[in-house]
Amino acid sequence: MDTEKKKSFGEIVINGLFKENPTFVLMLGMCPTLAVTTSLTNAIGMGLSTTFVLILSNLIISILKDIIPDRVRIPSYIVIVATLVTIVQLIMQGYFPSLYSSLGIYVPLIVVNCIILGRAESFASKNTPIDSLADGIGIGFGFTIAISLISIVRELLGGGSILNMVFIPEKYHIMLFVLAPGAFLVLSVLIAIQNSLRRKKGKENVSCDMNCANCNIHKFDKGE
Amino acid sequence: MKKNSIFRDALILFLITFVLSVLLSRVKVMTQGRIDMINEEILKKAYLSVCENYYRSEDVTSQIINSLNISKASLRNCNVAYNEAGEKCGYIVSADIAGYGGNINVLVGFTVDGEIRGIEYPESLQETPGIGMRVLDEDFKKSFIGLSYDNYDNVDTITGATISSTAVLQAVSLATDCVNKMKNRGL
Repeated sequence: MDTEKKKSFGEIVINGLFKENPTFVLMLGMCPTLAVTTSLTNAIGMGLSTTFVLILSNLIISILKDIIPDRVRIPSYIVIVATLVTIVQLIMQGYFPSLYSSLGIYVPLIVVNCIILGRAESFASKNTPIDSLADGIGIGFGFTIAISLISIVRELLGGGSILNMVFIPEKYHIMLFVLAPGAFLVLSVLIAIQNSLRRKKGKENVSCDMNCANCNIHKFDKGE
Repeated sequence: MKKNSIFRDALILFLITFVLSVLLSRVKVMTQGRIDMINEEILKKAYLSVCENYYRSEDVTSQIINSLNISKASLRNCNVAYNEAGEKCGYIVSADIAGYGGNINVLVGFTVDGEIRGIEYPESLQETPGIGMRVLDEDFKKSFIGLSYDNYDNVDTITGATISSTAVLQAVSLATDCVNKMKNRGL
């Protein structure tokens, strides 16, 4: 039952950036988020590689959605994503060696990034390839922007510098932010800020694709 | 047999996996040559940075590996380095040690007298940025130069990065032990 009007390409992209931001709203892909946000360069690199894989996997899975039987859809998605990531890694290793030396260790981590599988299951398997492409772009860049914001805070407060430009002298560095607990704290504060911004906007036109597993949105807005 | 059976679903899954594996193996074959070439270049650059005049090396790991002292680090390979004229110009040892965030591969270059010429990290490190990653600082790396078997730990560990710095120290210790054994054997 389709209760919402058809979204345009741009609307789907914006949706992935804000309303269904994978880090601040959907809270998918927390593991790489915590691990990679210790420095801005790592975060941007990881975000862009994930976006690239996400766009391709959304496209491929959407194209194949009528062929893949429902019963074996999860193993099929996993095999497709794992193959994609391995191909990306091999091509990066062979043709972009300097990029690989800075990002190389994060690329295999993309396979276990829940965002990829989550969007395959909740969007790509139910929408057209063009829409899935838009979703991949929106969610991917939403992820990249989110983890970049987190890493700016963590690197600045914990290491005093961003992109090798030092801002804060050593004695004011707060070690907590470089470690995992600090990552959680920064994440929670940013989520709180994002929530209050969304609340202020008032109009709650939440997209519901009847996928309750990804529905954090309704929980927050009911009876608060 | 019903068309809607497990058999049909399994067959489709098999086909998907099969096609993807074929695709992946093609990509691997296509890129393997380049990847090997690039890795060789990286290693050669690392060798040159720890051993000037490096031209070629002779791998003597099998002769040494059983005579080493017990160490937390493990030997990847140890080589005698020769310059272009064919003369021995030093030793190069590659050791692996568990750091804070993952494996650290340390390459140590020695003069023919067994003194450290320099250390390098051919593979990317997974230590904590700003803390453990500071083992990459030139000051830390340079602090090993001139040391040898007896005084290899005459370096300052990095404040707040005990695990990462002592890991590098252990790798260097293994390397000096290795060179010591190589010299004892007249290599």
